Amino acid sequence: MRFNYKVVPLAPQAAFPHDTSIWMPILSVKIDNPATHSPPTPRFEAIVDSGAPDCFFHGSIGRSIGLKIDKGILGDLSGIVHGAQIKVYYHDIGLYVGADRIRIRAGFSDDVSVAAILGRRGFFENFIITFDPTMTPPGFNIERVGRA
Amino acid sequence: MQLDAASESRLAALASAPLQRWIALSADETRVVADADTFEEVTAAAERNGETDPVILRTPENWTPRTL
Repeated sequence: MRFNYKVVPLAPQAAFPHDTSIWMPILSVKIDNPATHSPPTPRFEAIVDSGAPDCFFHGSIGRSIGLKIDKGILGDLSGIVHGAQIKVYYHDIGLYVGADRIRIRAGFSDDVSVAAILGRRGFFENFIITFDPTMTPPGFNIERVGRA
Repeated sequence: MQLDAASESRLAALASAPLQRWIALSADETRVVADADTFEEVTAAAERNGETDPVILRTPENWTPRTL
């Protein structure tokens, strides 16, 4: 299934002075809490990021499905910026991608600056993702793998 | 960058949305229908405003490019 990238604003940058927006590989997903059989959340935007080791969600989304965030399995997360490190708490959830629902272990934190990131463990290991930035709008194809 | 009408509307909606907030977009992602401090609050606010299938996101502290 093909999804278009989504456009977001871009603050002025000296290197690219004419760019006021940027396309990003963003996917609308839902999650649920299998431990409590919660209903799925409304759709929310997640950035498809092969550079992320795991899937990460803002703690506010986790609390909405009844997760006690700091009762999860503690982990550390660093980014490209030197010195920045945050605590994340891992929980087992259901992730809805299109018509598929998969069980994954994902990190939750109030310190992530976006709603969600879909990374290698949990997302890329379950789907073949093919990015195609050559068209307007750019897009990506998602194909489920490992289906039972 | 060429944008279609829906993307232009989405871009305008996000550019005028408050920063570091939970935002609910309309189902077609062309309008901000609610904003709030938490995911639960923005979900409820969107429904109160008549949007039963919102798309929710969190706006950053600014729109500078970010490497995640």
